[in-house]
Amino acid sequence: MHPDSAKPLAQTIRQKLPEATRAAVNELVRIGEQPAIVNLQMGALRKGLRVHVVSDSNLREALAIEQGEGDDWQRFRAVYGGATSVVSFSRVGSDPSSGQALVVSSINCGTLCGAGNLVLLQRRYGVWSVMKVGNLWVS
Amino acid sequence: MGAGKSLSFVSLHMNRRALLIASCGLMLPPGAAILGQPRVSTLDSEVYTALVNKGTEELKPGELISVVVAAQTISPKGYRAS
Repeated sequence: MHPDSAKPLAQTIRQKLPEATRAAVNELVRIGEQPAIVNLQMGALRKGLRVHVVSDSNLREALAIEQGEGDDWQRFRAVYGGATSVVSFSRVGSDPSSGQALVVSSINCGTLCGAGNLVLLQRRYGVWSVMKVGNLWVS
Repeated sequence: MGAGKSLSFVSLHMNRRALLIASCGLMLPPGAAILGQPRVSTLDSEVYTALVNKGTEELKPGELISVVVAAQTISPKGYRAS
């Protein structure tokens, strides 16, 4: 667990990404706790990627979390065609007037293998690009 | 005695209905529960797609990887380090 995890999210974001607008921060805090189904634009993904979008429950099943013996990453890899890691996203906090978007992204690849980041994106000419990344935790 | 039985039956019937209603949320298959949640907006999809593309841009041409993308929620008081 990250040492800053007890801090309010808005405070953490302002420290890590002072460039983020107040509207984007507030929006992420407002909708960040709402679960939703991740939806990717498959046609816009890089060629050669095999991407599985899974629900939290399917993920827990693949990792055999309910069986209480720690995450079973070997089982996970077998279920998802050799995938080595899980990328998770929070909802996106956006500020339409500035074209900014904020999202929490984490990657997990096994015991003591993972990281969580705050990502600030900027939309220019209809294309999103990563402006800055602030690390939240590493394990 | 007859009235008692009748009362007992009605009571049991009501309890069973209440139990059924209360258990519906718990007995749904996990997938069904997830489907009841809102889908993300187009903007969210654009951002997720951009992040997956960014995170894989250093792959060599033709190199295949699998990415498993899952929805994550964060707490209003802090973020969840899963």
